[in-house]
Amino acid sequence: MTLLTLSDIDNKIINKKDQQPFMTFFCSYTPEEIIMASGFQPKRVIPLGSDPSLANSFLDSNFCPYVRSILTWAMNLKQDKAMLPTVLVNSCDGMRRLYDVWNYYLKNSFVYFLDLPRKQEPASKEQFKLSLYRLKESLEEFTGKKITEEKLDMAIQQNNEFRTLLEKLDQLRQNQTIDLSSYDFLKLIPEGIQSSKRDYNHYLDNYIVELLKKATERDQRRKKAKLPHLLLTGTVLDNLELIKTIEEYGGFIDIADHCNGWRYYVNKIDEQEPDKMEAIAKFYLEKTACPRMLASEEREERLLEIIRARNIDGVIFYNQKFCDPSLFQIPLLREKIKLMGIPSLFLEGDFSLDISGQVKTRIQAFLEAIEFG
Amino acid sequence: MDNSNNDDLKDKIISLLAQYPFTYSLFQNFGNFYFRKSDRSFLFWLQFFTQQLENAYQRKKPVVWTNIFTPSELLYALDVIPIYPEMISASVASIGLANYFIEKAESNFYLPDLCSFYRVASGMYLRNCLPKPDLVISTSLLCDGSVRFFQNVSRYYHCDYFLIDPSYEENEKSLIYLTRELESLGKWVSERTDREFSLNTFRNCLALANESRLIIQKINQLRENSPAPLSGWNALAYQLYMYFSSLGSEAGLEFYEILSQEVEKHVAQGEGVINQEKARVLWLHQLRPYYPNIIWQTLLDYDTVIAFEEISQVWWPEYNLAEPFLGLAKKILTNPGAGPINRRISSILNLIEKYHIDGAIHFNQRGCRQSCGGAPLIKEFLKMKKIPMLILDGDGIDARNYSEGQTRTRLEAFLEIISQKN
Repeated sequence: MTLLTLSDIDNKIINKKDQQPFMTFFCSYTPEEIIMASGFQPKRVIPLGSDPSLANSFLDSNFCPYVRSILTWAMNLKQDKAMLPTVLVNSCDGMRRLYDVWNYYLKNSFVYFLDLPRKQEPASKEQFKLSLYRLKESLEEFTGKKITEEKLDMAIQQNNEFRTLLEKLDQLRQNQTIDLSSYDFLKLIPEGIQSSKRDYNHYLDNYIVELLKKATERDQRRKKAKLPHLLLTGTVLDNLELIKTIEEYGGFIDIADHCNGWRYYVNKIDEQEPDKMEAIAKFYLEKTACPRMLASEEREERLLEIIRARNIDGVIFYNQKFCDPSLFQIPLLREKIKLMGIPSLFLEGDFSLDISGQVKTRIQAFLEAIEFG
Repeated sequence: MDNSNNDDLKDKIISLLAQYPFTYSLFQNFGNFYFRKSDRSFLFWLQFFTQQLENAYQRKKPVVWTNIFTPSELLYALDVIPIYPEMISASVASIGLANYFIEKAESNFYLPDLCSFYRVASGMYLRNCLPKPDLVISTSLLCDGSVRFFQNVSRYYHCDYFLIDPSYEENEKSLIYLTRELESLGKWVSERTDREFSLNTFRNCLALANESRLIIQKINQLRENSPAPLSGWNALAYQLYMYFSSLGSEAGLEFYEILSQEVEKHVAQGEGVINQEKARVLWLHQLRPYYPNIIWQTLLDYDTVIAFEEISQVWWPEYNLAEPFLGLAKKILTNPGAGPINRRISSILNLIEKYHIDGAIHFNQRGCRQSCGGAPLIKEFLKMKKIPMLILDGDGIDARNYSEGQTRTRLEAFLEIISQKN
């Protein structure tokens, strides 16, 4: 077996020859496994730098910048006649309205709107399972190919392995066994989602081996200076430059509790469950919840446990502007964090390419306050 | 000079007054005198509203906080006192107290981008100015903010929360799912209140709601008349309160009988809000600004009337008393604001035809993603029907987001256009 080097990974050498056609999605509640089993490669689109204000006349200016950025991005694709089949999820008011506009202005070859209950009860799971079956049938009709249990099983295994490898890598990073920044780690998630999982898992495996090899080669006795340990929480991380900025200013990010961060890989699908659709429904409804879900309260409790267990020094709330579910989680969570004597900082994302000077100053001041606090 | 002691004292007095049941009797008596020349329906609402709060503070029955799209029929069947924080927020704004509560909410990180109705309500419970709930029940209709607000309430008061979470799609399976969810709600409340849920009581409540529904339909039919016999501005205030909170109760039926008599009288006498109507407007969204503003007066200045509001329509079928839960599930699931926007657009187009509408005003409540996000598409459809539509940015409660100059300019430009149509 040829061991791939770190530079191979950095150069994103991904085997393109068995790359499946892309199917785009925007929400972490999209069942990637069903898309994979249908012969498509899921691709989560987080269109940074796609000016959200261009979508104002189709939605509203006081509207989620993620949703508006997606719309701008999709309209450009439409103009270029490069629309891809897409699955949207009824995961928030923003996505619901996006689907309305999409359906009217952007009709493409395949667009599916998947309903998503907010509750985890057995009846909700059954209801969600029915929705998943309808998605499956629509995909089968679209492709003319059957989605078999074997294909689903394969997709589940590959995604579980991907998530397991990500978790392993992140644990090594958190414990500082390997030298990997949070920025470099988080970049792997979108890259892996849109790659052939079999190949990417292989790369990740090798990447871990390489990083561990490097770690053993370096002076293990050298202790790193104590950095302020941070927990980030919110919905979607738009611009990873924010992570880079925090790290450049000396912060160490233990957990990025975002749907394209920690929440993406922390749960796995039950491979022992014989009914694969049941396993998928259970996984998505019961995974560590996004602020829109009713079980978000349990996630908040888990975050508090992590704060205690990992001696977190500060919490950064990083939300997309106008995201009501995440804005509503702040008051109570912040109060509990405050009672623990942990300072917090509130930042808002807007899908712009740059991290503003003001945000940089606030991060710097926050980290200084932690160091001297 | 440090005024914090004075502020603390003021907060304590306000909170004590709010918690003292007798305050509401006093308020009602004062209101009856002050508004003695007002319509009977308004005075009836005042009594209903104050009585509801007084009963809640006296803990006569379990107190349940709920949202406007949770069918009140079920709450009356459960024999609880429903409290509607969203609508109380509107009442608070109308007496000029909204900012006092908004300040409190914002200082507790209920940020200005959130819907002001929930910020005022949050400020009210944080200032201890609402009766403590025993339980919280809400639907996820029509917005995300509602779910998180009510969940926060239940966590703040350490009481249980039941979320009615209808599906996006309207089909047989989703109807069954919702029906079962509502059935389980009856049991859920019984277990927590030691009260037996009686199917007979439920059927009686639905029968009352059916009667009220027929009267509302009659009123809505009378509103097709020109001149418009009922003020849309009032329909979006106290009448809306009754529409959401009284169906299924004796009081609700009595209110609609009174209101119907008032409207009938106006029609019989050929009286209208404006006798020489130049234009008729359809109001989109279920709210309007509740603090002093120039919108209503500007409409009157242009001899324009709000002929109807999309929220006032009766969209649900009569309840079949043999299948009470199914009927309620249908009401929730067929709400024009739920599901895809096409449903809302179809209902708006029907109302435009029915009420001889010249133009529509969509009140863009800042912070209301579900409604504002659909406004441009509605405008596009109305444009195809050659119906002008104004998207009027504003805030129902937080007057800081209201600009008189901008509102006047935009409204006048729109009214010029629609008045020229006739």
